[in-house]
This record gives sequence, structure tokens and C-alpha cells, in this order.
Amino acid sequence: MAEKQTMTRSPEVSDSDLLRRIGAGDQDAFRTIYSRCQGPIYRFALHMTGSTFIAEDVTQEVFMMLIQETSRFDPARGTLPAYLFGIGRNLLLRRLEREQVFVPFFESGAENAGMQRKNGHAVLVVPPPDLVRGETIDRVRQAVFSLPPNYREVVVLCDLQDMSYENAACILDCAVGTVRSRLHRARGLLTEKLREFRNPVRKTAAAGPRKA
Amino acid sequence: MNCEQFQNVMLDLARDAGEDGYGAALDPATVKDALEHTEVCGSCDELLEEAEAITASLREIAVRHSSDVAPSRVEKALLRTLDVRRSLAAHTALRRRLFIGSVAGVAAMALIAISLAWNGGTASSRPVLGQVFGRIFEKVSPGQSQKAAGPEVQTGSQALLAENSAGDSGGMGFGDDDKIPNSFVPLSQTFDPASVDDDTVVRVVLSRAALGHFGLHVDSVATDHEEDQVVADLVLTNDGTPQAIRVVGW
Repeated sequence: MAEKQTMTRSPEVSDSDLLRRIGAGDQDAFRTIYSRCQGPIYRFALHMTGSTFIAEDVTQEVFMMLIQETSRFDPARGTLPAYLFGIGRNLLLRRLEREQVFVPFFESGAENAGMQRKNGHAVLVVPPPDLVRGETIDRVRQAVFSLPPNYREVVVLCDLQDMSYENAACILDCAVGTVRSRLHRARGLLTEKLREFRNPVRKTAAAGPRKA
Repeated sequence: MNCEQFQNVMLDLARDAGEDGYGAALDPATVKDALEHTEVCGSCDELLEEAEAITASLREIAVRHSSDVAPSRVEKALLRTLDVRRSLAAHTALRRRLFIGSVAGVAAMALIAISLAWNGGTASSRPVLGQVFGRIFEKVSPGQSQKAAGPEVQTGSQALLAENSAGDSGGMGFGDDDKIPNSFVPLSQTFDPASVDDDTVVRVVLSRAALGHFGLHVDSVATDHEEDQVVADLVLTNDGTPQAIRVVGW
């Protein structure tokens, strides 16, 4: 897959050499790394937040840090893309914590997912048949956004970025087993959320009696 | 396979599911056992269906966004930053070189000043120029001079001392070329007369007052004629520090 390819090193020039050249202001070396890594990092941020603005901002910050501190990368600790993902992840987590950028599944995301509010109660709006598939995907996307960040990031990395457990573990700075267990738990949460969506009556009922 | 064993492999099974069956994440025997279990367990079958539906949706999302990249303005902004940093780095390197050069210059000047000051402080121990120029230089103790000077210098000093003793009050006239010594007067404790060769001797033209900068005491008459010029040979070290002086003419 594309992302898996980005995690491999170029055989011609090592990451350390490229970084040394970037430190000396070499624009070609920077372009080489940027073109290889910016897409996955941008999509990681986009899938984590759902905001193109934040994704753009985080991508820029990641590479800005690379330019400013080229010497911080230690090849013994992992690949350069993993290092950049790590920076991006830290920036994102800080941002999520500060701005609470996630969309609760049956709150603000309900309208997009086919739920509408009438008199303060969630009511299922039956979509036209040709939109069902697209809306299912949107629901899954909303469900991903509603996951807690530590579960969301494994889904984004392993399922949406098609990254191996090993690479995800390197980026998340945890054991492969932890990635597996978090992914298992995340998938369980997604299943629950999608079940809730498929059975909105329970949610409506839980919202309380209708007012006259 | 029971339900618990099935749920342990269900995630990999669901993630591995494709349009043409299951991939290689699980061994074929495990896949076969798991699928057989779903045939006899409705709840596990439903779980697998849900998980596979989520996998399919996630793959669809990934495909939809696979071409999303950061806008080109991000790259442009970063390249501008890199360019600015490169300019700053070059500027900083230049400033660093200038700073180091300045510090070295100041240090050299300080060393020269210290050397001159030290020599000035001990100038009273050098009788030679005072004896040579009579009215130009104050008379000094000859004994201390001999401690600092090397053998050749001492010889010259002693000769001059004798002459000076003969005409102590009058001193020597400015045009008295015959009295000019041909030996060097040390300006530094480290001066070694044996080290003097043509490469280290520089002939200079100085104002008489400038002799004072070498730590030599200049009397009031010399001060009156301070714009008169003196031809002298200077013995210099490799870094240009004067080690000894020999007046050639005035």
C-alpha cells in the first residue's frame, strides 16, 4: 500500500544524509522528504480531526519542526516517517485536548448521519436508497471521530492508513500487543456506535417523553 | 472453535476480509475453523458481518481520501522558512567569523598593550636608549638593564654606560651619529639576542615621541622635538610583537 511504501527508506540517500542537507538549507533534500511524507501525515491529521484546516496546520508544524531541529532525529529509534508521525501525533493530541475537536456521534454529527432533531428529540430521517451506502460510510466516519483519541489513532493508522501493527506501535511508542488490543477495543466501540445508529428508537426513547 | 476463541481471531478475520476471500493474516486452518463456527453460532456470525461491514466502510473512506494531500501553499511556506533559515545561518556564520576575528584582534592588541605597559613599568631598568640619546631619554639604572638584556645587549649597554658616565650632565646630541649603538635594546623579558636574524628585523621610521610607546622614557627636550623622526630597527616576533629596538639614525 502507499503508506507502507512511505515507511521504507530510499536506498540511494539515507534519511540522515537528507536531514543533514536540510540543515544546510538544501531545498531539494527537503522536497524529497516532504513529498514522501506529507500526504500520510496530512491524512492522519485529517482522519483524526475531520478538519482540513487543522490537518494543514499540523502538517506545516511537523515539517517546520523538522527544519528547525534536524539533529533531533535518531535513526536508531526508528524511521524518519515514523519520527514525523510521532511529532504529528503529539501535536494532534495537544490540539484535541485544547480544542476538543471531535464530533459526538449522536450530537452534532447526527444531522449528517441521517438524524434530525425535532422538539429536542433525535428522530430518524429515512434516506433515499441511493444514498444509503454513502451515508453508511459517513456514519462510520462519524463513529471514528467519536472514538477517544487513543482508540481513534489506532483505527486511523491501521485501518485508514493501512499501516502495519509494528509501524503503528513505533509511532505510538507502545508495544505491538497494545496496538492490537486498542484496535480490538476500538472496533468494538465502532460496532456499538453503529448499532446505536441502526436502532435509533432506543436513543429517542432515552431522550425522554415528548412534550405536548 | 468456541465463541471466545472466535472473538480472539475475529478482528484479524474481519480486517483480512476481501472480495475474493481472506488474506494471509491468519493461517488457512484458523480461518476455516472460524468460518465453521459462524455457521453454527448466529451471534458470532452477526459479529463477523458487522466487523466486515466496518472494514469495508473504513477501506472506502481510505480510498476516498487517498489522494488528499496538504495544499501547495504549505510547501511554499516551508521552503520560504528554509530559505530564511539558510540566509540566517550564512549571516550567523559570517558574524561568528567576524566576532572571532574581532576577539582575536582585541586579544592581540591587549597582549601588545600589556607587553608595552609591562615594558613601560620596567623602562627605568633600561639605561641604554637613555644613554644613547642623552637629552631625549631619562637616565636609568644600568644594573637592572643588564638583568633583562642578553649578552650582546649588555655589551652595548656597558659601552654606552661608560660614555654616558663621561658626559652625564650633557648627554648626547641628536646629530651625534657616532654615538649610535649597533646593539638592540630589549623591550621584552623574553628577548633573546641570539635569535635576531634578518627575517625578524624591520626598519621603521618613528617620531621621537613614539619611542615612549615602547616603554622608553622620553625627556622634555625630546617632547619638544616630538615630531622629529627617528630611524630604528625593530626585532619582531612572529605575531609582530616588538622584542627589541635599535636606533639607526635621526
